[in-house]
Amino acid sequence: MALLADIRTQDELDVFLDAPELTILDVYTQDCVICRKIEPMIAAVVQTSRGVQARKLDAAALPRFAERYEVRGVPTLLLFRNGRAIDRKSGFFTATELREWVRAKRGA
Amino acid sequence: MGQWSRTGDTPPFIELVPPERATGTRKELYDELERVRGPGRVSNLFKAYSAFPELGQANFRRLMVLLTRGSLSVKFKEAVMTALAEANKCDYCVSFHATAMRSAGASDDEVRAALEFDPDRLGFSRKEKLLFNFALKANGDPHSISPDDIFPLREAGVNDQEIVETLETVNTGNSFNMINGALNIGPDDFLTYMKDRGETWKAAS
Repeated sequence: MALLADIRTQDELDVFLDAPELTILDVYTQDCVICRKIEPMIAAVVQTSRGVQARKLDAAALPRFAERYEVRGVPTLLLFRNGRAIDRKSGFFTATELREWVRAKRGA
Repeated sequence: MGQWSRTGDTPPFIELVPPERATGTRKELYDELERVRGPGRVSNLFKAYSAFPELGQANFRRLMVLLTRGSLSVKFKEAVMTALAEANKCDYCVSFHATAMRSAGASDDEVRAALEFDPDRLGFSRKEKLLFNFALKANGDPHSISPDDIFPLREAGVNDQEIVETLETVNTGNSFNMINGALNIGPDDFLTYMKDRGETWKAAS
């Protein structure tokens, strides 16, 4: 059951990443167990934080994007604002860690 | 009926023998459950376990040791299991453990905080907050746990038993979630609280 909506096309991705709010892109693969574990953490952060949105991207769906952003493992979380990547994380993080991450980057 | 979050009305994949038809070791297990939890409170999970009644008895004893011994509170352990049930998308388990959280003194807001993986709103001590996040991390990627995760626990005064107690809480929650999910075991008739999680997940997907 998906908690974060999938990005399926480049156009959809461009619109999503251009948003002025903090934008988490969760890059995952279908066979990644840790990706399934972190998704509810990200969904909870979005639910409880103002001005944060998140969606996920199957790395295999848009391979050029993964290459451009040097995604070498999953899950990789890319943080964007106004179309610019401002930070990234790889691996599992608790919702508390993600809330602190978002809070720290909000003023950056 | 299976879990609320499943579509259709598929029954559980193994027979859940009702108490009135239980005999032998299965009946002994059901009697023990009712003695501890009260009349009529033989949960569907343990009806499934009763297909292998000795294993069911061993698991119930293990659960009772986890919940009644050790130094961490029942509220803490049920909050961890509520969070895991949410993470694992077991709506029966959310209802069961959220109900147990309430029985252990948690408020509705604290149950909500567990479902949002937020120990800061659970009325926890610093030690409990750290252990709650440690539990989530162990569930998310146990092999990524490093000395950097253990050091703050030690600084907060967490001892070895409390670490094991927390990890066994994760283990127990996950194993129950897995069995309920894999066998499509649905909610107990005696549960009334937090029955809407499956609908919430469906609406969000």
